Order: sequence, then C-alpha cells, then structure tokens
Amino acid sequence: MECGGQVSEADMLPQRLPTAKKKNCVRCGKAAVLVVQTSAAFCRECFLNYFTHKFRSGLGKTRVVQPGERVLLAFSGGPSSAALLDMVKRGMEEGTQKKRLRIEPGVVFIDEGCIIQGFDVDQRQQALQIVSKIAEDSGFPVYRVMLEDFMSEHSTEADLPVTVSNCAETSQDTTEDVERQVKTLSTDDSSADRLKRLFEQAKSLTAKEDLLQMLRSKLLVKVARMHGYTKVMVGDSGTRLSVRIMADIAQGRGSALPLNTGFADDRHGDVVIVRPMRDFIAKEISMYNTICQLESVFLPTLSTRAAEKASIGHLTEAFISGLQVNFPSTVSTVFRTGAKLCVSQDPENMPEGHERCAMCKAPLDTGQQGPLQSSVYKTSGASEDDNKCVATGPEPSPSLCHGCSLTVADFGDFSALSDQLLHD
Amino acid sequence: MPVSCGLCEKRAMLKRPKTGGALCKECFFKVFEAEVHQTITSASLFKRGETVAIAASGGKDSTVLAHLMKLLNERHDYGLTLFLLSVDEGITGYRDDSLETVKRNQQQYELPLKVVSYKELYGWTMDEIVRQIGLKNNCTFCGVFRRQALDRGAMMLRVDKIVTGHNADDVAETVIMNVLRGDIARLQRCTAIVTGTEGAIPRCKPFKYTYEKEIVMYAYFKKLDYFSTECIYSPNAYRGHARTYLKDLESIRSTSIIDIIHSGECMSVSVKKDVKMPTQGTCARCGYISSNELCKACVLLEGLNKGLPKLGIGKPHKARMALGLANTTSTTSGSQRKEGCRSCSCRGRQNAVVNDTPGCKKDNGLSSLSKEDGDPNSTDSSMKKELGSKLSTIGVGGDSVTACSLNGEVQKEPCADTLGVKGQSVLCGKNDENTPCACKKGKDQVVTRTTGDSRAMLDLDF
Repeated sequence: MECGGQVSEADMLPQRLPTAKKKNCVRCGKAAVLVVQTSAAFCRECFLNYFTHKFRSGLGKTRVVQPGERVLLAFSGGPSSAALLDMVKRGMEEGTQKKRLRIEPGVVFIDEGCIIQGFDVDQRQQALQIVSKIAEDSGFPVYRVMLEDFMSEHSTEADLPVTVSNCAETSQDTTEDVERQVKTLSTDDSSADRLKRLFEQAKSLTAKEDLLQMLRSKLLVKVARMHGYTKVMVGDSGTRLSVRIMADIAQGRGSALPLNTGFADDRHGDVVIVRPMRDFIAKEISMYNTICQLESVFLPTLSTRAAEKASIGHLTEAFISGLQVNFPSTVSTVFRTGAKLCVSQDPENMPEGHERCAMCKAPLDTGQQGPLQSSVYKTSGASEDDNKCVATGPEPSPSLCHGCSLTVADFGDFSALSDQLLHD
Repeated sequence: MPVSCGLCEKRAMLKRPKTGGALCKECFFKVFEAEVHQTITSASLFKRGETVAIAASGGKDSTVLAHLMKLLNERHDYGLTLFLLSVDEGITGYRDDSLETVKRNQQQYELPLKVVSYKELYGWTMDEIVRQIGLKNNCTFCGVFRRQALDRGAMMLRVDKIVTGHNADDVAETVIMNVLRGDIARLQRCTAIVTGTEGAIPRCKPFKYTYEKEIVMYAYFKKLDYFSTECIYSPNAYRGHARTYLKDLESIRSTSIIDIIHSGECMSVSVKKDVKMPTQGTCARCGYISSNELCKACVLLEGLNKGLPKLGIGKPHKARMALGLANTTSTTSGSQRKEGCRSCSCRGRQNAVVNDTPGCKKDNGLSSLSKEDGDPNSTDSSMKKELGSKLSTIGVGGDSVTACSLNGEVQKEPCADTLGVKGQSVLCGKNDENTPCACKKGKDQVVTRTTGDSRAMLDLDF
C-alpha cells in the first residue's frame, strides 16, 4: 500500500518548483526541498538531522528512558508510529558507539479489528499482513495482540493469553500466523463476541472511543509487563496530542490531561508510557515518512467515515485541524498549554492507592476539595427538593473520576467489563 | 401520549437542556431558581447588608439575572441593596436599543440604574473605534474597556460586589479560548466563581453553572423583556470558532459544558510550579489592576489617541516599544511635541501635544481644555467632541507640557520616556503635593480626572 503522499510528478512540478527555487535551507544554504512550519525551509539532510536531533534530545532531556532499558514500541501501522519505529531503528544502528541509542526494543501491535464495523475478515487479514511485515522489517521481536485478549478469562499476569504467547518472538512464518489468528477469531472467540457486544451497547461513540483508548493503553501495559518491558513508547504526535488535550477538557478529564498528553505517563506504576513523538506535528512526520519512504497502513477506526459530530474526539479533531488551516500556531499553542499542567500533587488529597480512579487510574478529581465546585454541585444538587430532575445525570461513583463516570453512564450496564477493567 | 412532568403530575412543557428531564413550567422555574440560589449559598457569594451592582446589558442573561437577584433577595432574604449598572459602548443600532430595554427593566424591577459610557470614560465610542480599527480585533477594545468601565461605574456607585450574567456556556467558552490562546494565567482564573478579590471590586457569576439555553427558556416562559440582537461588530471574532465548537459539543453530549468547567477547575489547581506567571500589579497610569506596567486599556487608548489603533493588539513588546517603555533614552517634552504633532490640525496650537492620525477627527482633550478653560458651556461643536476625550487623554505621554503647567510635581521630574509623567500626577490637576492625588485611591478616581471640566463631572453623576 502506498501512502497518500505520492503525487504524480506532473501534478507536483508546476506548484513546487518556484518555492523550492526561491528558498534556501536555513541551516546550510543549499536549495531547500521542504518547508517545515511557517518559515523554516530545509534541505533533505538538514531536515533529517533536525528530525533526529529533536527526537533524541526529547528523549535525552527528560531522562525517562535509561540506557539498556527494555522498551516496547507500540506500532499501530499509522505514519506516526512508523516514524517512531524508524527513528529507534536508525538510532540503534547509526553513529558512534557513544551516540547510539542504547535500548532493547520490542514491537507490539494491537489488532482492534473486532470492534470495527464493516471491516471484513479479508481486508483485516490483508492489513495485518502489511503491518506485520513493516514491524518485522525492523528486526525487533514482534508481539501481536488482539484487543479482545483483554476480555479473556486469564487476565492475571501469570497466565498469558493464548494469542500473545503463540505469536510472540518469532519473526518467521508470519503469514500463516496471522491467518490462523484471524480465523480463530472469526469462528468461535467468545471474548471477541463479548467485547463486540459491549461496544454495541454503548449509547455514544464518544464513550466507545474513550473505552477503546483506555483498553488500548491497559493492554499495552499488560503486554509490556508480561514480557518484562519497563517502558512503552507510543507514537502520538503533537497534533494528535493537542486534539487529545482539547477532547479531554471537553470530557471533563482536565485533571488527567497531564498524564494523557505529557511525555511520560506513570500512572500504571511499574510500566511507564512514553510519548517521544510529541514534539513533532503531523506534517513533519508525514514529510519524514515521505523522504525516508516509510510505509504506513491505513486502518479504519471507530470514527472512520462517521459524521463530524459523531463523537467528541472526532469533532475536536475537525475543530483543531480546521483552526490550524487559518491559524497555523493552533496546534503548538494548545500543546504548550497542556505542557504547562501537571498532576496536582497535594499530599493531603492523595495518600496512596485508593485515591485513583478505578478505571483510568488517574488521580481522582471528584473529591470534596475546594476548587472542584462543579462536582460538588452535581451531587449536592440532588439533595434539594428537586432531586429528580437535577440528578438524572450519572450518579458519580466514589471510585470513578468525572470523565470515567460519564463513560460508564453511556455504557449503561457495565458489568461485562468491570471485572477486567477495574481490577488489574 | 403527553409526557408528564418529572416532579409533579402536570403535563410537561419542556425538556431541560442540562439533564434531559421533562418538566412543567412551574417546576422548571422552581428548579432553575433553586439551582441559582444554591450556587449563591454554596459559594457564599454575598454577605448581609452588602451593596451589589448587577451588570445589565439588556440581554437575556443580565435581564434574567436582574429578575432573579431581586426575586431571590426577597425570597431568601439575602439582605442586599441592588443596583443596575450599564455600560454604553456607543454602538448605534445595538447598544442604544438594548439600553432602552435596561431602562424598561429599571422600571419593572424598581432598581436604581447607572449608565457609564465609553464616550465619557475614554472619549471614544465603539462606532468611532471600529471606524479606526475595522471589524477585526474591535472586540479586544470593547472587552478591555468594558471590564474597566464596569469597575469604574461600580466605584461610583460604591458597591461591594458586581454580579455579571456570565453563564456556564460563557465560562466553558472562555476555558476553550484560553487553551487556544495558551493563556495559562487566565485559564487558572477564569473558572473562579468570584474574581478580582484583591484590590478590585469582586465580581461574581451566579450563573456559572446555569446553561444558556435554560436562561433563554426561563426568560421566554417568564415573558421577560429582553433584547436579543447579536452585536453588529462581533461576527469576525475568533471567539466564534470556540462558540461553534462548544455548541457542537453540547449537541453531542449535553453535560459537555459542565464537564469543561470541571476540567477548567481541575486545571486551575494543576499548573506546574515552574511556569512563569505574570505578576499582577497596578497600571502606572490609571491605577487599575494590571499585569504589565500599563494596563491594556491604557495601551489601547494610547494607540487610538496616537492614531496607531493596532498598538495594543498583537505582540506586547511592540506596544512597549511604541510607547517608549523599553526605551530609556530621555526625550525632552519639547521634542515630544514635535514628534507628536506632525500632521494633524492641532499643529499650530501651542498646547497641543498628542496627535492623532492624519484624517483622525479626534483632538486632544487637554489642548482644548486649556484653550477653553473655564467655559464649559461653550457651544463650539468641536469642544463638545473634545469634552469626552479629556478623560482619556489626560495622562497620555506628550501631555506633559500641558500637564506641567498645572502640576508642579511633574515638572520636577523630567520625563524619561514618551510616557513622560506618571499617571497619578497628571490625573489630579491640583499641584499641591501635600494633598495626595485622590485618583490613586480608586473610588474618587474618575472625579479627580475631570478637574477643570465641570461638564464632564456632571455627566459622571457625582
């Protein structure tokens, strides 16, 4: 599959040449081939240097990833994670011993196909093959996981879900492997059916996406734990994260926002989720992929081909990208606003353990402390004589954060998932 | 089949936008009023015996607010003295009509009304400002000026608090705007139910958790008299994008508005400690609360009066450069004068110092002040125009010459920059150093500014 950046030569030449001629690379003065953000034009080499340096300095500055650490790379098949995979691969090969990226990577791919409507087995199989090929080309051990593994009965860490243990760490005979997986799934996988049913009963796409996001990161952490990885790198770009910031705010997740969009997410304890691609906007990444001719796969998501107002996440994406067209600093401004926030560390409010949301594991924001008047209002409003109409909203459960209680409310009966979700 | 009210047996009249519950008219009133009452009591917005100004624009929010404040004050015996306070921005075809509504409300609710106008405070109406700046960014002027105008009006009324009709939609919209602008300091402040506690007169938002849609419903079912036209100058505002986004969010999930406010409240306590925050001080010129040396209103006003209307818009350092704040080389007031009056009609005049753009019809208030001193009843039409602008132009950099003639104190310290004189020394016309200028003290600020102009004082209703 070719990525969308491939335009026929004839189309490109008349528009591109004049600008390319005028501008010179801001670093070396040679003829520039691309313009990154507003003004900075780069030649090929300087852009690659810039990109690599930005990636490495992001990792270096934060000092989250230690040398020699086992790091799991979450590969979705999309452009951003393809670039991440490539950056790590190059980082480990090139340069002197001293400069080399010293980590022990593995690649994980989560197949979310079972909950996507209208993604038939053939298409899914095809997509999986390409994803596997890209992942295995890296030469790192590859783990393929199904989203429904989350529902399997053996959710304790000692018991490895079957699909994971079967396919792991062998980079041979992949095609058959994938085929077998897809087949087993399509015939009689009860956990897949249960997951499917769960997603079907959700009242809103917003809640579905929210749950998917949560399941995904929980599954990543789970796989990492199982195979002894201490870090998970995800390919979230700055563009994606600024959409996430906005969507989180809109879903009442302001308190978890620093965890959801920061460089390191340590809410799961022993396994930390790292976002090394956050300094790049989507445009930079697609330019890198075009220049390096990296392959990426388009996989349908829950909101593919949905209307703009289908979900909060989908609407927010349209909103941010719409603004970005006329106000090119939108993404970076939103992103920097998010970067100025941290998890509020008030020692009084959160001693240990139980002060976290049972579902998303973010610090609980529904406490009775001063500034959170809206949540106080929501509960205490019910005690008035008008309780019936004030309290038709979700009854805030004491162990769920504001955002999660909204999602739970949209799922109605949540018992199907609650065991796996809440106790891990 | 008719749906019955969720609280009583009567037939439901409406679906609450906030919760989706079906209610009859009476129950909706009851719930709506109870919620606002609860917001007021749980945040303990008022103390007994306080004087409260209701910021009234004539629109739905402030009309419902005025109605509700009066109602709740009587019903729950808050013990408050209420005033209506309006700002006249000077927008023909919009504010003049809405002010009529306010005046009717005044009759209906039997509350005293006070109107302060941009013209009398700043010397510019919004119509004139829009003629200068165009339809882009004009909301910046209006918003900044209104904020201060409300405070000044409240000072004149000597109230303890101002209540504004900001509803939940407005607060949520502001959260989104501040994220889009990257304004972390305002993001922290904007969700507070009471703002401006230190220094300024506190402002409260009793409608902080009240949906705009419910306010409209309330006004509609109560048949309240309100004015419902969009401002004629607002269509180009960036805020519109945030507004559309918010409305779309609400249509997807009706609790979104409260969720955003919740997020905003959470974010306000989780700002990193090492983030640089602006320190709040007071404006060197007018004494109003400001995070810069000059408050935004003074910068904008200076831009208008100097014919550089874009001055306060965009990069702050550019404004500082233009104002000469960054520039420490001393310029004498003489050279100032030369620079100041290159091309306007005041060139020939002795006292004219600050000028406007070529083609700008405005003149310096001070120049006319000294010219026509002691003749406030002059029928000269230009004089009429200038009267209003006096307030604003006093204290503007180049005025030092004129001001110096009145104020000995100023002459002692040579103006180090274009700003020339500190605001307070110019503001008070009295040159007696022993009686400190009262304009620093806030409440009397406006009066002292108008020294020498009996008419303006009259307008200010003191």
